[in-house]
Amino acid sequence: MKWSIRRPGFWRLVFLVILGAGLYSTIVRFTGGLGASTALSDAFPWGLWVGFDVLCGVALAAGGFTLSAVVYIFNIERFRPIVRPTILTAFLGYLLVIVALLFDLGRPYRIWHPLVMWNPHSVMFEVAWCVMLYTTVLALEFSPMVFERLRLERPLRILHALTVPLVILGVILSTLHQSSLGSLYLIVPEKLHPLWYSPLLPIFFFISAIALGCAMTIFESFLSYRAFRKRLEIALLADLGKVIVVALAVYLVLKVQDLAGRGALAQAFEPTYEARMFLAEMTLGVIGPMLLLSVRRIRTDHFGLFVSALLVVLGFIMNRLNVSITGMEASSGVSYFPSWTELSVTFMIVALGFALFGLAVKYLPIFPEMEREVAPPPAVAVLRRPWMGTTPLVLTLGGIFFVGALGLAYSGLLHRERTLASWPRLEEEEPNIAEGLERLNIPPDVTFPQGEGSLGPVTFRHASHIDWERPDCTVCHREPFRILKIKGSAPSPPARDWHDARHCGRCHDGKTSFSAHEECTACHQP
Amino acid sequence: MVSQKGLLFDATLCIGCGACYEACKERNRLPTTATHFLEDRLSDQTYTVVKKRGGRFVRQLCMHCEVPTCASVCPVGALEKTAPGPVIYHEERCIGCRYCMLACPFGIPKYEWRKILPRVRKCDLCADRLAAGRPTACAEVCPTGATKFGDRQELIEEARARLRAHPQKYVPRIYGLEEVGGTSVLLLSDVPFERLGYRTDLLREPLPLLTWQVLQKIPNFVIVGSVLLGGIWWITNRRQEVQRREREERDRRRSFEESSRDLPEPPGSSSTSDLMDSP
Amino acid sequence: MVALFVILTIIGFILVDSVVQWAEARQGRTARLPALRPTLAFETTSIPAGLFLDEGHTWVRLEPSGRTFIGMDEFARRAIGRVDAVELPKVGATVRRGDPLFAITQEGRRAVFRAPLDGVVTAVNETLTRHPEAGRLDPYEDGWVCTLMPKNLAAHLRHLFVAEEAQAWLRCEIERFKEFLTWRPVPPAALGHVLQDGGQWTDGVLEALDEASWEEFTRTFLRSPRPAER
Repeated sequence: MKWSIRRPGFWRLVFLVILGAGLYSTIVRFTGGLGASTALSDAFPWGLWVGFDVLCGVALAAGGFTLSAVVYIFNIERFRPIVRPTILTAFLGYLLVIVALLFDLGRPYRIWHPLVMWNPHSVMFEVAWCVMLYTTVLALEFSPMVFERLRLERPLRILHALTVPLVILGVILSTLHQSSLGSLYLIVPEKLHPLWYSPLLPIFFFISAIALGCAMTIFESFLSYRAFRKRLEIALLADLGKVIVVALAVYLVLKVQDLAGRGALAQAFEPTYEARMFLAEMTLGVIGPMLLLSVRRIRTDHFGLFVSALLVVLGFIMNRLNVSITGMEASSGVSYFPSWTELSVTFMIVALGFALFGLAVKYLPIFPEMEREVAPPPAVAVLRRPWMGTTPLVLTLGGIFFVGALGLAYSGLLHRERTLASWPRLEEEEPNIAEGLERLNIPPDVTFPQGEGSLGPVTFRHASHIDWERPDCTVCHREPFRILKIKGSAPSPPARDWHDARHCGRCHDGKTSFSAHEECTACHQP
Repeated sequence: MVSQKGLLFDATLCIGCGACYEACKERNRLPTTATHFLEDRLSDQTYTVVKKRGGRFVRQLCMHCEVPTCASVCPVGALEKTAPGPVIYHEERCIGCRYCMLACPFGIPKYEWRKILPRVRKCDLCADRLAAGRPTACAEVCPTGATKFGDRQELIEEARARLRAHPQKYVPRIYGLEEVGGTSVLLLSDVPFERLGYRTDLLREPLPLLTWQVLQKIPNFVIVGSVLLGGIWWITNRRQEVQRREREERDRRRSFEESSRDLPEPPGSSSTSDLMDSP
Repeated sequence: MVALFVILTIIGFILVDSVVQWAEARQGRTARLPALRPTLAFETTSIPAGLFLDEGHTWVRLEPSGRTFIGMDEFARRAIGRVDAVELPKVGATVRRGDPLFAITQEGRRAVFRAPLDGVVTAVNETLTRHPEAGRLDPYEDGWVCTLMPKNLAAHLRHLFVAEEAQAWLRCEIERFKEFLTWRPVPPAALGHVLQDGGQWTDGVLEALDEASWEEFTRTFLRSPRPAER
């Protein structure tokens, strides 16, 4: 946090406001429960915390495994300088996912239960184990930075020896975890919209995680540049851009094939809420960046790389939210929009991520370089001279995809009401109960024994107390004519209780029916 | 082996009296949640409702699937299909991830949103009464036999008999016989089930198969993946090792040639060389 | 709706940030930078094309005029860190490959660099006497120590590394240096530490090491590796 406090006023203020709101929402969440703090309901049990904090958080942490595999397994040493920041991001990402889970779980103090209570048939069980194991692996991969700072020789040497097995374990776990987040939705074929539901969901999640991991690495580098004036490894990042193009191309081909194979391709072009959101997602995250990054001039340009990576990141955030929220809305029958408490907690978690990253960079040996860029800043500041170099090309192309996607999403919103309303409604009409009435098997008469000072025993006849046109047991069978007790054996409470307004007297009040206090022999028959 | 119990609900017989609703509330000690039972919805305080739909009264309750999606998705096994039929909930295991609610094809599990320590709530087919050899509360109080309790097999026979006896009346289908692999609660109706609010587009096989097809590959994937990655590492690492060796070898050969040809004179002839020859 | 909302929020933050950056730039206020821990990844350091490296960690650049520029390479520069003084050779002196050419001192201890070539010293970088640290940022340009008019150049160039060979050799040296550091006692006040797995270590790590390590370093890294000399 220190760095953010020392940073010029504006972001410090924003950070404090977000933190304040988040802390207040935390109190609301843990004193009022989920109902008081979220817009979730029985019909929509998973909202922003799962859709964004968990699904996107994990996906955005994918750079960690992608790059460590490249460097340690494939021994492509060039990428080593950017391994550390990505491992740090992944580690922080997973820690924050766990924080988000603590908010989202109904009983967060039982988060350890999957350790001892196993259900290998559950995807969620796999997810839980992946989160736990991979966070541990990431902690170990991250710990050299701490040990180094503390100058602890022995653990460093041990970890050094363990590096390759750890990385292999990490890659396996990540692969499982990224894909299993997709598998989570395999079990709702009748709820998730066909544009997103697919037996290939785990594969889609995995491939997109690779693209997203690379894009996040690029994006992070720019953020680090922005915050710390850390030198940009443009050549390395451009190579990551190539990887993104390949991953996105594979994704696109598989996606189209899958949609066509399931006969859902046409649905993508119908004027519905889901279709427009789907097109927006594909434009933003797949088609746009693929075209941008395949142009060499754009790929090797600061601003071009930044815009392309941003498109991928935004596109796949949209994808995860579409799977978890947009695609589920219609079948749920309700409209979900997160409450401000959900939003502020999410903001707080993201802000904490930035702050922790800043702290780590400040106190731990994260970046390999001491040099700082002195050349004019890339990214946003380049906008000051938009007519220079590749910038106009990037601006035009990026702008087209950006505005196009937003326009599609907006048009989707216009279709939203209609699309959600088109889900089959159940009409209510006056039921035909003729057959039921024929079979109506009236419960037996109940004889109450003669009490003290009573005129005689009372026999209650169900038959004479039923509206034969519309039998309704609940008129009487609420408190205290407990339906199950009566059916067992007749209770014999004190006589006067039966006459009052809560029992027989309720209807036998002289108005609805004859009065229980006047016409004794109507019931008491000696 | 314990025979599997179940319920058969016949929409043609239901007169919408609400006895089942009231009995369920009473048996589960649930508070009143609506002014009239027909207006109530399933919630953490209502495990069954009677709805007026498509010109019939129809009940809604946990279907107690043969291969329950909820039990399969629960990471801690808090939901369990018991041998006599009921899908029951182990409150003390539940972590509150609500995956069961998301996954249930019938939208049955409900959550105690208002509580600090919430639980999942749903019909448990009166598991305690079943264990005592009694029918469920709802079946016991039903005055028309619309909700009938019995062995699932016998109920299926009964339902088939009714379909045979009145082929022109009923929709020729026992809902719950095959839906998502079969359910312990079976439905008969004379109006299409969709109109009663029961989805007819559900898969015929159990939904857990969809995820199991993926999950069962994990052990293999872990082993093959680790070996594969280890192998790749071994190859790339070995290649680097070989390159390094070759380089060293070359260096050594060169320095040998150098020492034998180029610079025959011993070092130390220069004035400062002693500075560098510390032991 | 939620998806669009989240996307727009992120875009909003980026736009606000660019406005903030723009405003800062206008006020001439650049963000105060946190002190980065200077660490190195030699894997990324590049050797200017056409430069020759010697096994004693000096570099040689050939000029069209026939002169050669000589200095200490980036590896040595970074490993040593602070330089208090540079002892320049005398102009006109004749050196042979392997002779001590120049030396640096740091807190009273010396490191001697050997001549990579035979030749006559024709000029020395006087800037280094006033600013011994001058070559810190760019050891291959500002860090030149002297120029040599070489003799027998063709024979000696064969012993120097160039291009890919130089890169590869440097990588080996870094590995060796990491190993070297692993067994050094590092006082707690040291700037930083060896990273076992990342190939990164702090700039000027030798500043923190004791005399014995310094001696060892000069002997094993700044040597001319002729077996006969041992």
